[in-house]
Amino acid sequence: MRIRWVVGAVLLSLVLAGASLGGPAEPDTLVIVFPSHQGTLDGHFAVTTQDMLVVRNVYNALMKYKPDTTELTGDLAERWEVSPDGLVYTFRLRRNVTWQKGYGRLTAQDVKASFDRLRDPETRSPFAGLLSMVREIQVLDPYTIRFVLSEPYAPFLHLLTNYRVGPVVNARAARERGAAFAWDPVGTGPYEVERAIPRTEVVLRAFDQHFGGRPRIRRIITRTVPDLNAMVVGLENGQYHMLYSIQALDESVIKRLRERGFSVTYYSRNLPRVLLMNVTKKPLDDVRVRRAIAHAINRQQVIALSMAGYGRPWYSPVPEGYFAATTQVPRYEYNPEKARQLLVEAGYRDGLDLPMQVFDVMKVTSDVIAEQLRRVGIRVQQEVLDQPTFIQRVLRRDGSISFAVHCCVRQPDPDFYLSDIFSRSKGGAIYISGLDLEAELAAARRETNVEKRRQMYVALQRKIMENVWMIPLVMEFDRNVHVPQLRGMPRRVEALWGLDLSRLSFE
Amino acid sequence: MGRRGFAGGWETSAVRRLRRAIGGSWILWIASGFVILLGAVAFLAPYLRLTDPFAQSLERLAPPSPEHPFGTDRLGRDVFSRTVWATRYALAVGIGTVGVGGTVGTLWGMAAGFSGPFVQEALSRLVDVFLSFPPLILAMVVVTLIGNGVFPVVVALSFGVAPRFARVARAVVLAVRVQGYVEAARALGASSPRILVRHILPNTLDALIVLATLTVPTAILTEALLSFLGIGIVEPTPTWGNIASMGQMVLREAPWVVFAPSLVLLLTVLSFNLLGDAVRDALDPTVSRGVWMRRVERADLEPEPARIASRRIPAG
Amino acid sequence: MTRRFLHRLVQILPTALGALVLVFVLLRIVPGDPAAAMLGVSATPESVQALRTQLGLDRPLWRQFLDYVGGLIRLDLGTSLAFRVPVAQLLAQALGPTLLLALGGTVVSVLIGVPTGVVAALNRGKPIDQLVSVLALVGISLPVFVWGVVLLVLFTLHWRVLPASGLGEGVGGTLKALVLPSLATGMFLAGLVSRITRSSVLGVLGQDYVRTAWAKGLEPMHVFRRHVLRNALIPVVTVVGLNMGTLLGGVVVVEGIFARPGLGRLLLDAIYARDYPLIQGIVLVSVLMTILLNQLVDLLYTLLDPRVAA
Repeated sequence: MRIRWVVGAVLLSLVLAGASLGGPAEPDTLVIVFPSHQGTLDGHFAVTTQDMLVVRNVYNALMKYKPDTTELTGDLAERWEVSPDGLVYTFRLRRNVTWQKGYGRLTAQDVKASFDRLRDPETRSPFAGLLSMVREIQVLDPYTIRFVLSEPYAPFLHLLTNYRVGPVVNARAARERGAAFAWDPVGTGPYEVERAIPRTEVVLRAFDQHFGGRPRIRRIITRTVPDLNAMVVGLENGQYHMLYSIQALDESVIKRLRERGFSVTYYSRNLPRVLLMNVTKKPLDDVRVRRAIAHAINRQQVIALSMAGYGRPWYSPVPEGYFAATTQVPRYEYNPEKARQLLVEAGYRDGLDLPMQVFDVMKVTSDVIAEQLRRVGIRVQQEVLDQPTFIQRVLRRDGSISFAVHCCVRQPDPDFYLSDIFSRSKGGAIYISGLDLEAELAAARRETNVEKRRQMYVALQRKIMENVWMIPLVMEFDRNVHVPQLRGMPRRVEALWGLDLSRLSFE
Repeated sequence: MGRRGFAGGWETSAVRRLRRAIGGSWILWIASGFVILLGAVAFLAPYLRLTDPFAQSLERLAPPSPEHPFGTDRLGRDVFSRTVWATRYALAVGIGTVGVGGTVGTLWGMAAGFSGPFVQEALSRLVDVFLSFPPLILAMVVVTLIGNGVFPVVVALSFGVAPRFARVARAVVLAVRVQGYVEAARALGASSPRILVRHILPNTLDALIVLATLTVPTAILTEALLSFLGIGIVEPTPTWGNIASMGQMVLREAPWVVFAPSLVLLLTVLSFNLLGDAVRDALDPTVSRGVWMRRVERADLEPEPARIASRRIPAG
Repeated sequence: MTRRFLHRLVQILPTALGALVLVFVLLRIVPGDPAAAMLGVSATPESVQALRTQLGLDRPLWRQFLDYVGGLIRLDLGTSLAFRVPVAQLLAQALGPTLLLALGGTVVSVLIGVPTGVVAALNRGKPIDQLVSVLALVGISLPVFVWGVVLLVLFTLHWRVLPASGLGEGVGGTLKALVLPSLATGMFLAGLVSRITRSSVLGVLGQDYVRTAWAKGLEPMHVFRRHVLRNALIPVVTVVGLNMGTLLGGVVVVEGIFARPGLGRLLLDAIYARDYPLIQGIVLVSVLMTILLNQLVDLLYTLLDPRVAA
């Protein structure tokens, strides 16, 4: 009897040893660092890029974007149908999806439970209101789920991607873990959270039962390193493998790192930098002043000085890469003479004093623009605020934020972005304009015919630029520096926040 | 002993001692000269034909050259010009902080020294509480509350400086009150309040002047730390701290961006420290000759006079 | 000893409470909303309102204060708004590295300052005295960030001997990670200590009782250790105690340069996020730390100078 056990154990150990000897030796840990802190790993509360880097890989959503594109495809959903009137969305789910940490198989009931948890007033997720157009969620069978809307909403599928309302969380685990769910989440994604120390690091381990297959890199550690120098030094002496989304890194440092053999990956995140203004108050209520500002801006210099060269000039309200983005809009090229002329026409012979509100992340760009405006006689007075103050003042809508450089990534459908900027009822942290284009935006939102909808947005963009209600500046590239052995990074575009870590591998 | 006698007597002897202290050392002459030069530069900055400190260019991180004596920074701006302009803000903060914090602190300390036991306890505890906050952290919190700019920074730093002045002022007032008053009354017979003021004031002034001259470099250094952290006086306004801060990432490619303002900062603080030492040596007769020594202020120790007596301090 | 500590605590407590009330009220008056901070650029008026309610920020001020004080009595410092974990947990996490670094900086300053000061005092007037004095003066005049940045580049890149960031694993790793930050933090205080040591050693050397001891024929080293050093170190302790505040300020900057997750960083983040419970927690901890430090200084006094009444 005992001999059999011993033989079995020996055989087993040989098999295991063989298994590890046979395959390629995967270096098993990837260390990713970034300068800011994560706030939570709960999909229904996460907002920052650092949060999303993890959330994106811990959960799945009904829809996702095909890698390196902005094209929608199914994630948890295998097939989907939209009714002709645009009110009913039916999704057929994959059947081989397993929850992490032993929570069984995913069914349509689980998906409904996730959305119920999101919309439950008790949960108080800040994103609950984003699904206000959903009248009812029905479970037709264990693998079919149906959303019934109260009015057509063209970008609905985009909402169901892995951001804000989209992540499918395990509602039972959320209930059981309570507040601890923020750092010990349960999803269906390719990585599960092994350990999380707030403000320091999150350790992810590959979830082998993931329906998409076994991730190549076994362990991923994300760490917060608030100092750029320390980050660079750590990369150079082997402590870290990737500096993620390093927008503040100077061009000369990137050059040096490249020369030492590191790889710099950059891609579009559909991330625009724009100048937003309150066009209902003096002096920006005069279109000549706004045109002057537009002509005063040298986009190449902005890119060279504040983005280390990683950007492309952009002149349209809808960011490049979005549905209905177009370049057929009035353009205001760099022309300081014309700018000065327009100011004189507007009655500002001796120049103009213009307050500008700046929040820290936009500081360098604001400095560059302020200097460019100074050259044409617009004396900018910068009010430097930190993000919480800036956002609070925007939300107060008292006009105290009247001129600012801003950004903001959204899903690649124009409704999210333009509504945030120009709709009084739907506008959020970038509603500075003071205008209300809700009527046009609502019509476009409800239009179910794709081509018609595109034309509506093209017309709207032309109108915005004719009146210079905002000044688009550049499309910025996201940049990451990493060890050359790392493969699988996006090359053209990353339509969602974060990175798909399951596509990464070490050469 | 009339007014003229006392006032004249104190002033002459102090000035004489000061001159003796400074006169004896060429280093002090250089230090004083540097401080005066700084003051002049700060005052005359707009009139010197310097490159525009805000003008950006694509010539980023250029090494020092005749056109740009300290090179250029990450936005292509002339570091020399920015360093010179930063002098204004450094001196403004240094002197402003001593002015505001010093005045408030002195009044606070004197009030404590002259009041009855209950008020004195309260004011002293307040001093302790404020002193328990690291000055930099206190300044960070205050600036967050008030906002950025030169005046908020002066106020923020004053919060850290005033308690120290209060402590000194109070201790001196107490010491003289307990000891000097009695002695003076005895020596002079019927004491008039004016004569007591003549005794108390010079002693207090001496200690406070020493503290003031040594607080200026501390304030300048603390402001440099604040602006290095990006708080207080922010870009595009140049300060030595924020010039260096922007340069730390490119330390290996363009070390001049960190080192030029740091060098000027070092020389400034050094000069003020040297002068402060000289002033202290001159005004404190118990200190033996020599510039390099620094004595622990009696008043820096526990405020209660009784414990002062129990501590033996080397006369250095 | 314990009586004195309790006595001090009782004295400090009302003012500490007063400071806490002040900070509490000011935080809520000051612009910048924690909910807006957390939501960042995805904020909308509705989402901010929802989050404020979830965090309990829409209740009346007095209610919030009473709840907070009630929690304090139960030793519950509340939950961090930005990180969603108990404040106590974050404080515990951050206190260790900061205390270690403060200790490291102090040790460095004494290890560098005392010997150099003694050497300078014993060789008064000679070139080495001048050299030490110049170096000490430079030490107190150079900002802490220059030390930090230079040390960082020199010892972690040019000569790859020490880690550039983080806290290190295990005892060896932690010590290695402490070396450079402690050096950077301690340089300023080292200069001060050097100067004080020099002047106080000189002072003690001139005292009668020292001369008497020599006259009695006692061995110079013995005299030195027993009498001179002990008495000379008293002002050193004073100076170190007085400058703890400045040292802690330096710790904040150094923690940033070497990416050590300590109290300095925590405070910066807490302020940025308007994380009220966290800021209040840090205020409390700072006050308590000061009391403890003062007690430590007093303890050292009684050890060094038996004449000081306990």
